[in-house]
This record gives sequence, C-alpha cells and structure tokens, in this order.
Amino acid sequence: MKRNFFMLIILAFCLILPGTVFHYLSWAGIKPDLAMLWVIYIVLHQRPMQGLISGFIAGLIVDMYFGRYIGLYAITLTVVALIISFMQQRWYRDNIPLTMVLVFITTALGQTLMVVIAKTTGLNWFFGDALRIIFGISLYNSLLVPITYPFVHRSFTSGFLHQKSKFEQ
Amino acid sequence: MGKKFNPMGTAVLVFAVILITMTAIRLTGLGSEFPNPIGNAMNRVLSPAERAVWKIGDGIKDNFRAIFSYRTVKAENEELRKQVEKVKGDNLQLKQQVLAALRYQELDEGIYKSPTLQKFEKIGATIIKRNPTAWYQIITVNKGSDHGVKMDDPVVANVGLVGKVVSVYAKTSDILLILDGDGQVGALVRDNQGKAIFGILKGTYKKGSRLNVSGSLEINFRQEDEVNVGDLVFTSGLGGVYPKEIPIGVVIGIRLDSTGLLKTAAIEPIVNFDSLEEVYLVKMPEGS
Repeated sequence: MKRNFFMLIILAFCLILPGTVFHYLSWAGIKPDLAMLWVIYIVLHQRPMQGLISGFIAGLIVDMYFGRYIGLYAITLTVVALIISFMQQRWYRDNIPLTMVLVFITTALGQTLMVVIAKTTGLNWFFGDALRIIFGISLYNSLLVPITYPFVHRSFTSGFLHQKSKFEQ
Repeated sequence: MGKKFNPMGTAVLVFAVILITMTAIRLTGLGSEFPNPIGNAMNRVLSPAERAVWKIGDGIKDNFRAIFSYRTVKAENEELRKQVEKVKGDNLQLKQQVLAALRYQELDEGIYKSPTLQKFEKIGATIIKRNPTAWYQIITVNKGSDHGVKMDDPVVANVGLVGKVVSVYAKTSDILLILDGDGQVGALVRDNQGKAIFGILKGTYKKGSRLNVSGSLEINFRQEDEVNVGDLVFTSGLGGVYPKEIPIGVVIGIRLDSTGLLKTAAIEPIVNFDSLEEVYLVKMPEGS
C-alpha cells in the first residue's frame, strides 16, 4: 500500500515537471516524457501482469491530468508495459547502457503508437515534425537514465519501493 | 493445473478495449465538455506545487541569464532603450493622427465604433504550466470557473492574440495557443491601401529553436490576393470565438503553391510565446 502510494507520488512529479522545470530545459520544444519513463522503470521491476495493470492505471491517471484524449496514454502505456514485460525477461536490467537502449527503443515505439492512434482517431495534430519529436523525446528519456535509474533500481531492489515477498512480511 | 488460455476470448477483449479507448479519445478531444472530476481534483492539488516550481524556475532563469549573458543583456537593454524612445515618438505621432481622424465624421463611424478589446471585461492571469508534453501547445493559467472563466474565452497578451480557453477547472484553465495546429483563427490582412483580405490562420507547430518561433503561423490566400511581406494580420471576428481586430502578427514571407492556385503567407506572431508570463482572458458578452 505504502509502496503504491510512493509510486503515485513519483508519477505526480513526472506530470508536474515537464510543464514546469523542463520548460527551461527543453530544446526546440522537445521535453522528456517522464510518465512513460516512470512506467518503464516500474514495469522493469514487476511481474508481467502486474506491470500491465500498472501501465494502464498510470496511463489513465496521465489522461485524467491532461483532461483530454482520455485513453490515449492509457492504451499507449499499456502497450509500453507489454513490450517491457516481454523484453524484461531477456534483458540485463542492472546494466545502465543497456537500460538506456531499452528506454530509447520503448519510448520511440510508445510515441510512434501515440501518433498512430491520434491519426487513426482523426485528431487534428500537426505531424510534419513527428519524426523529430519522437526521436527527441526518446533521446531525452534515454539520457535521463544514467541520472535517475541507479536510484530507482536501488529503491526497487532494496529501498522504499522494494516489494516484500510473503515470507518477508 | 494452470488456467486455460482462451484465444477467442482474449481477442474479443482486446478488440473491445481498443474500440472503447478510440471512442473515448474521440469524445474527450479539445473543446469537449467532459466533466473529468478526477482530473479536476488532481489539478486542484497539483497546481499550487506547479505554481511554486514555476516561480522558482523563473527566478533561476532570470538570475542565470543576467550572469551568463551579461553582454547580451546589456546590448539588449541598450537596444530596448532606443526602441522605447522610438515607440514614444511613434505613439505621439499616432495620437496626433487619431485626434486628426476623430475630426472626420466618416472615420468616427467607420473605425472607432468597431468592437475592440477595450469594450470587454478582462481577467488577468498568470501562467503556471506550459506544454505538459511535446505534442500540445497548451498553457495553464491560475484562473478558472471560480473567477468567471468560460470555455472558448479568447486570450490576449498586452500586444496581441494568444489563443482560447479549451478546458476550465475551478481554479485553473487550459489555453490552446494559436501556434497549435488545432487552434485555427479567422484572420484578415490589411494591404497597403487598408483593404481587408480574409483567410484562416493556422499554427504549424514548427519551432526553429527554443527561443525562436518565427514562421510558426500561416494563412492560405488566393494567388491574386494582394498580400505583401510586412502586412499586419488581425482577427477577422468571423467564427464567433475571437473579437474583431486583435493584432496577431506580421507577414514575414510568402510561398507560392505548386498548383498555382494558392499562396501561403508565413506569419510571425506579435506575442513572444516563450517569454509570456501573464495573459488576459477576455470575457465575451452573452450571446455575442
């Protein structure tokens, strides 16, 4: 319970920061997708089914916060969670460069999916810059891995986000 | 024994989820009246934190800018002083011209009775959040329905048009900038003889760099329309959202269409969206 609460608090920060702090740290209008990065981190440290549910709930919260296109992030982050939980079993998650690659690939797939969904549902987005934005967000997210992932990984494996097994409780 | 996997059931479930999500996305798009109580509550809780972060960020930005770009700031300051002097002169000249024009009955009727922003009530608001993702061109301000803000209220800065309100919460509102592809505005360009040429202004969402938004607006015209670089662009008042004659920008380039039917004018906005901190929400009279 306490663990889920902490995860929600961090998600709230991931929602606040892009519209505030990262306004000053954006380049050519590009800023990281912290909610997606956080879901990737969560799913990397959870069982596949649990990861999928976390992805969907986190996506729904992001949609509610933005207040429009409800379902866009929910479906995107569920698919991201699905990809991560599939790759997680074949991936060495303690390795930071490898995690950077994983984050880059998954963010790029997630953002591309968002563009595809937006286009399919007929949203009036301007897609002239889509490739540049997708590449920029993916690169930004992967560059944040060396700064953030060591703390997150430690928290999930032995810190306040560590999930205690039934025998430990 | 493990649970039996039912491929048909899974396929139906996946299909249903996709269908529901697609419908939800469509129904809750920009301008929809979706009530969103959870989002409302989240906004109420998180907006004070956003405001605080925003203030700290602005403070840091201003101080660091002054330290690291001392020369640029100094040069900019000198340049601005010169511009202020020039504007003062221009202003005086304009006042004289207005006074002269007021003496003529036809001008009094023709121009000065047209609706302008002075006639409307305005609510001042501070920006507390900008573009939460790279995909939207949206800002959030600290005034909401408690202060009388309504959906589709036009938003202006000191010098020109900013956008319109697309979501209203109790204490905050979201504003879609005219730079966004979704934010189309009925516009008119005045040629050198003062004749109005109408068009629809559209944001192209392209940003050259973080500090440069030039060319991020465009209007399509017919090939024979007399539009030139340097012409001013105003709102046309058509479409019912924006009042007439709010300045939008200046034509900075004209590109001819390959079909030979149209030409596209690139517009540089008058408002500097990157340094925008305060805006005014215009309260339109009922039934306007």
